[in-house]
Amino acid sequence: MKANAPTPLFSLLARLKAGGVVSHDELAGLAAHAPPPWWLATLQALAAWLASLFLLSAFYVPVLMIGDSPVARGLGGLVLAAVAIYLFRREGVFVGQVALAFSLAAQALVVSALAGDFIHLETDHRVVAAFGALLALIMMIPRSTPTHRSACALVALVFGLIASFAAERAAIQASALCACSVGLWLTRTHWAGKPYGVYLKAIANATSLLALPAAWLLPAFSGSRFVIDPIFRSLAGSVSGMSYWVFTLCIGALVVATVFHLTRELPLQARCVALAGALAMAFAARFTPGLIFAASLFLAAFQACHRPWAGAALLCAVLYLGEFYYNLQVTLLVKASALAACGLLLLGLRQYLLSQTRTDVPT
Amino acid sequence: MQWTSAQVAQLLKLAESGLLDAHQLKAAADIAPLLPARRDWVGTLDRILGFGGVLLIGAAVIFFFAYNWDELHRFTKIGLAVAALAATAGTAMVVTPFGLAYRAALFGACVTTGALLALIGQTYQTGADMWALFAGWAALMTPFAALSRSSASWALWLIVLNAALLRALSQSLWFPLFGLLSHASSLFAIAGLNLAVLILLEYGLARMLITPTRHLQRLAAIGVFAPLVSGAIIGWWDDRLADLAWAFYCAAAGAIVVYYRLRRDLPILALALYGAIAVTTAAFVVKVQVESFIALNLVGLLVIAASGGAGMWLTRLYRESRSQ
Repeated sequence: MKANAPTPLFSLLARLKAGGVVSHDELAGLAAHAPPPWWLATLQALAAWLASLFLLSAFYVPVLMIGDSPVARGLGGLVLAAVAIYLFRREGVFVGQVALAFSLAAQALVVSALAGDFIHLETDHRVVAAFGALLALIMMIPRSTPTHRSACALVALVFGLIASFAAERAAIQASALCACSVGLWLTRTHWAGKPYGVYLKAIANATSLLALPAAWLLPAFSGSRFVIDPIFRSLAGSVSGMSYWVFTLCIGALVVATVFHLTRELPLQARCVALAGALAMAFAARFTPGLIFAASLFLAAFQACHRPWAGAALLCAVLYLGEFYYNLQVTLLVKASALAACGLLLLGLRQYLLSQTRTDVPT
Repeated sequence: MQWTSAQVAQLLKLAESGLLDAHQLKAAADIAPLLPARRDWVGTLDRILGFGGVLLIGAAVIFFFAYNWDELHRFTKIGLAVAALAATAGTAMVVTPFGLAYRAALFGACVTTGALLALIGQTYQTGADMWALFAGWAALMTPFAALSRSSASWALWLIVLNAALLRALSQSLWFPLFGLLSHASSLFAIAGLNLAVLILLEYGLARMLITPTRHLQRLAAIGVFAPLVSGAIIGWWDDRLADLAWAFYCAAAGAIVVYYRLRRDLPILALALYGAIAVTTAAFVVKVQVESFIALNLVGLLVIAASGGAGMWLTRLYRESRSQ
């Protein structure tokens, strides 16, 4: 919250103008789009959701009083969606958040029109989920805010996973989610300026948001402490131990592939050391694949200069470490050995890095 | 000259928002690659590998002792915690004063002090209340926080102090968490404690910090406004908390005068303004009997108008402060 620190945006714009990348008029336009500080945006978002709550209540009550039928809900949802699309044409954090609330409420109403009673579904849940995913994808198309597109991508992904979920495929689905997240961040510079970049950014955000808990949940469901809990026993029992090993192998391959991609311009020796390090890390941390995924996501997000996801990956790594304590697959002694091996490996890699930078000519 | 990582992030964000087209992004990439500079990679990997390695080995040591915990004698257990405290304090004595390692070591000493107190309580079953543990922790970490002169250590101190007060206030009630909110005096006590810390920080204590940031003042301001706003909102429904609304309005008015006129601090100003909007909205909901279509829309519009006005004013002040 450095309220009086110089903003990097203005120094960047000055450099863009000096380099002839933007004209004087474009510079003024870009400066006008400078986002508010995060603390102000957060407070405005909270106020916007509060206002939306009242406005949506004012809308829902008469709709439900006229007749709580699928047709009424569907029409109500369409009206709300139209209002949301109109609001997205206006600038500002506050209006954007109100429109986001309207859009999500609209999607919920339209999906509920198809589903009927959510407790006793009249339509097959996979059809409802597929319809919800399609609706969310459609809502991504009109002009809107990055937050709205990311929210829609998240809704579409969650519904898509529900529509296609099968216990025996869970490891493949979770691995694909993780790979998609890392792959998108690694290639960010290639798609950022393209017309479809806005959609890929939303998908990158959504996959990262889902992949981080997936990297914890899948191993947990695959035969550790959740098996003890009767609530989760039926689901955990349906996810075999094989899923755990498939996921661990895929995530191990992902970290090696990430390092392979990032080190492609390094000398052969340094590249071999980095790849060997990644491989050793994947083996030593095989009991906690979340740690391996966090490392991959951190590297990809750092390469993409996306600090929030790089920070989130590190934070999740610490959380995975805490969760690893309660893992029932191996004893605390084995866990201690694995962690010590990982720690020594990281310190060894650091020593190698420092020895290389000492001998290198600064660039 | 290379783009900094923050500048690359901004450039890509502008491009993804459609404010820069593909040609402009390519022109920017022609000036310098849109990737982290080599020194950024080396610096970050140096810190991450070093910190991560130490963290994992530290976790391995904890896991190892946890595996053998039942077999350890209680003196050994206490000895381990004392050794950890001595190691962090000893590290602070040998590294460069007020450097990153020094502040990190003393922050570690602050954390380890709490762990040692918790272990003593668990091993010897002292019977002390939880609030006494937090109060003792806050008292014993004070010298470390004062020596470190870092915001992080003082922030931990403030959080632990608040935890001590919260536990002390809640222990006397039958239903701790919800009961706490039903007593105006409890909420006044929390707000008062944080107000006292805020005043101390504004009048000299903050000068003790190595880096003169305003994180601590803002943390204390949250500690003042959070109990007042929550109590004031509930106070419109519950007469026992009615006084909190007026206390909140006085505090908000005072904060607006001080942090707009005397010492410009926009986050605290925003906290006071948006808190006032929340409390006033709750008042409308209760006093106007919001049940009808028109009343619900009126309250929604009130929130939109007030928040929009506050947002525009704060954004203008923010841009003014940046352009100066």
